[in-house]
Amino acid sequence: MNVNMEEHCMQNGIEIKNISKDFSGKQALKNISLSIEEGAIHSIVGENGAGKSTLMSILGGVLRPTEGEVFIDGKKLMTGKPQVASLEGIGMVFQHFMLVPTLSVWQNIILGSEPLKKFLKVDKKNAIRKIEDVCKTYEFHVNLEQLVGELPVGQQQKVEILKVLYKDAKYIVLDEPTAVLIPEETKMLFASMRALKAAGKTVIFISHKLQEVLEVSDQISVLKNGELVGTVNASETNSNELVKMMVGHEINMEGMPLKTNKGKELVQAESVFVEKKGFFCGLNDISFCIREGEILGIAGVDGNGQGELLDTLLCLTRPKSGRIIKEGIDVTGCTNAVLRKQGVACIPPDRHHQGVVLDSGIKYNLILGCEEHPEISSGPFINNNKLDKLTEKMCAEYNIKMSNIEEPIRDLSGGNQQKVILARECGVRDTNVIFAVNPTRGLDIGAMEFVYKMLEENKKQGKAILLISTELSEIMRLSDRIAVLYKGQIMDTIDRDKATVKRIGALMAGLSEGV
Amino acid sequence: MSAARTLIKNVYQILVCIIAALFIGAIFLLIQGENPLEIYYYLIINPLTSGLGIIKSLGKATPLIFTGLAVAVSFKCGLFNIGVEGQLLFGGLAAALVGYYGSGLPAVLHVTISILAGMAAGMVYAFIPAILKVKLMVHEVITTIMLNNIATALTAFFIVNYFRNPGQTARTYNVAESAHLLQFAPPEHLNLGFVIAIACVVSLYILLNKTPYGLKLNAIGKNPVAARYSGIHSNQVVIITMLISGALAGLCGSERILGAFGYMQVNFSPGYGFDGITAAVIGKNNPVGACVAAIFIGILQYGGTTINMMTNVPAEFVQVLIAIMFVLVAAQEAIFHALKGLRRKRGKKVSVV
Repeated sequence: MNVNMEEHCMQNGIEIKNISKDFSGKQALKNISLSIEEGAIHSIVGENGAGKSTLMSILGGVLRPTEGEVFIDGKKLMTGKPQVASLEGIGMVFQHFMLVPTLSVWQNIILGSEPLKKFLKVDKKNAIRKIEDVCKTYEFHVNLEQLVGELPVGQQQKVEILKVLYKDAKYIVLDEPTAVLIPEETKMLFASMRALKAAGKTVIFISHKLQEVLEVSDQISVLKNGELVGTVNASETNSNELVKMMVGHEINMEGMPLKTNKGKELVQAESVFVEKKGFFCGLNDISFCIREGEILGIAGVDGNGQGELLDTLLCLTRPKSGRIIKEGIDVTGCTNAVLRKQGVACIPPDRHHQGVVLDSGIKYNLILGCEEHPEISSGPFINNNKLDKLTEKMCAEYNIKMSNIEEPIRDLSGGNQQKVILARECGVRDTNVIFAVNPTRGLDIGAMEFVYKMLEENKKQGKAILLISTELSEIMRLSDRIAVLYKGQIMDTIDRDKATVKRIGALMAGLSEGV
Repeated sequence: MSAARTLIKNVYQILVCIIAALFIGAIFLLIQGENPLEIYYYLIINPLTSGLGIIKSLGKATPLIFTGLAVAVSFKCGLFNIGVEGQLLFGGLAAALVGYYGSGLPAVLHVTISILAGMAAGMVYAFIPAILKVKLMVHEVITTIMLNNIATALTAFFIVNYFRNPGQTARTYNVAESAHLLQFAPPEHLNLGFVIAIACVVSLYILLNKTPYGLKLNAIGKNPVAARYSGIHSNQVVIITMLISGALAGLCGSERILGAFGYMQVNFSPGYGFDGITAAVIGKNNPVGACVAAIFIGILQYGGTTINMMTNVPAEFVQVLIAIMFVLVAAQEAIFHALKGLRRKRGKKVSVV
């Protein structure tokens, strides 16, 4: 991309050179070189896990790259030190705000760099004057005395931006800023971004929403699987082309979903409605059904209601209205424990957080939630010998590699951890419905194929499978039907035969008209 | 790691902490111009070398074993039950009342129902924070601390207004002879309660390590979110755990009333519930560890009365020692981690050379 890198180094702007980042064996970024011009709005887009956040964390000094360098205005940046990055003029605005809700706006803004008077008193007058200057320059309108907790999300975001402007940031990184905003707020944010640009600041805008990116940016860089696909000028491209760059040409199209006989409907959701709450977008009138021997894929960008959908289906949260029906029985009011006993398996999206107990051994993780399994108990007690035998059987069946069964699951690789979860949900439990959410996130190709194979095996046995995934390729590879989730709504449900990547990608981006 | 291996590792770490605490305590003693060896002789060796010392130490440890277990089981589940103190006050009151009003019953039966009444009262009082947590998501630390104060005031109110034995101190009528716990040794030093305590240690160990309930409790304590997603009925386990904790606290109250005092005096507890927290933390929330820690604290407390008499060091030094131990155990992960880091660094340097 950047042929004349040596020349660029002397100019103003950010120059990222040959950055790679390894996370204990998994390459999150592969040899990325990118230059960001001063005074522009530069967007970085890509699917989840493409490496956007990792790259920005390196720029902000939170992470240290395994290889490569960053130059700011021609000066080499000491990576791995947030304070240094901040001094060099890089201001980060994270998706999850770092604000103290019980402090007022001006207090939040000066937090960490308070101007002081004698006796360590905060110089409020000076602080407010400086903040008001900043507000005037960039046309921000915020009531400085109000408590941050009382502000709407859009205003809180402004406070975050003011925070970095107050510290004289020259380069402002906005990490998925629109993910939490309603459309009007987004428009206002874009106006602010343009004002910043007009004042000579550089804005780095991270997003996966193509329309927004096209609307506001000057340049767009596309990341995919930790690699830079390319940088284009916004004026010379369109969303079609971007979709193609993001997901298009390298999609694993090998193999189509397995053909099976579809049986009766096992799970139905009937106009499920879940209220919006905080950062969560809620669910709006969700209806679908899954039949025996079928995989229903739910595609969508992360944060569009996937979490709420899973929690509702598992009876962890109760929907405001609507029903979940399993085998003709309304299970909406059940507890999770009761539901799971009726043969529901779940592969949760966040392996470490929701999937396993990291500090417990493999064998205890294998029976998590099914401690009363008859195969491992004698009388009211757990029979350790039987448990060990079951564990060994499962480890052999699911090809789990470990040194011994007492080993804490923390020491296993991600793929093996996922296999433990699969073994638990599909092997130990007796199930006929499987809810799988991002089952291959963070796995290597081998483990991925294993997961696919297991899901298809279960499908062949006549189980009903719901596959919620942000990986479009995965959805295309496995699902018989594909529903697209956008802002808590199902945009459309398409048969696999009629689905194209373009169409799904467009729906994922919220474009209901075909592109 | 299997339960047994974890236990061995825990015991080893606890011993290291105890020895380290003794060393730090010795520094304090040296600063005061005392001979640490002499103090430690009276504090630890003396109680352990005489029959009376052992018996008295175990007698002092008995209530702490109960409260230590009560705290340990709740901590293990990720529940910070600070309310053992309040639960044991109600347990004591119930045992005292049944012990008094049930007179005439055959001895074995009377003792048994008195103890059960104490346990039940503790459970009822522990059920309040449990249900508040499950239904309204009120954090148990806040409710249990508040309920401690309420328990102190309420039990005093009941005793003073309804069950008071006319006399100088505010206390209930004497428990009937038939409700007294069997005494093993010279009066009021060691009673059947100690055996019950050991039985509780064993059953709790089995419950936590060998039953489905124990595995669930462990999973919730280590990762409540994963437990929820895997289909464990968390609320149920939380309530049962709080009830067990309350029952053990109630047992402590019963043992004191039926075994040591014979009546319930207002504010009879010198803080058994809070010492139980110490025992549980030092014992790393393992029933056996908590029991060992409780016995160790019992020895120190008995030894404390001796150093008070025999040397210039006040009995409060024991509190200092226990506090140092508490801090060391609480910071143990960090300390052992730092030690490991040091060792690794040294190893690296050697390999470079």
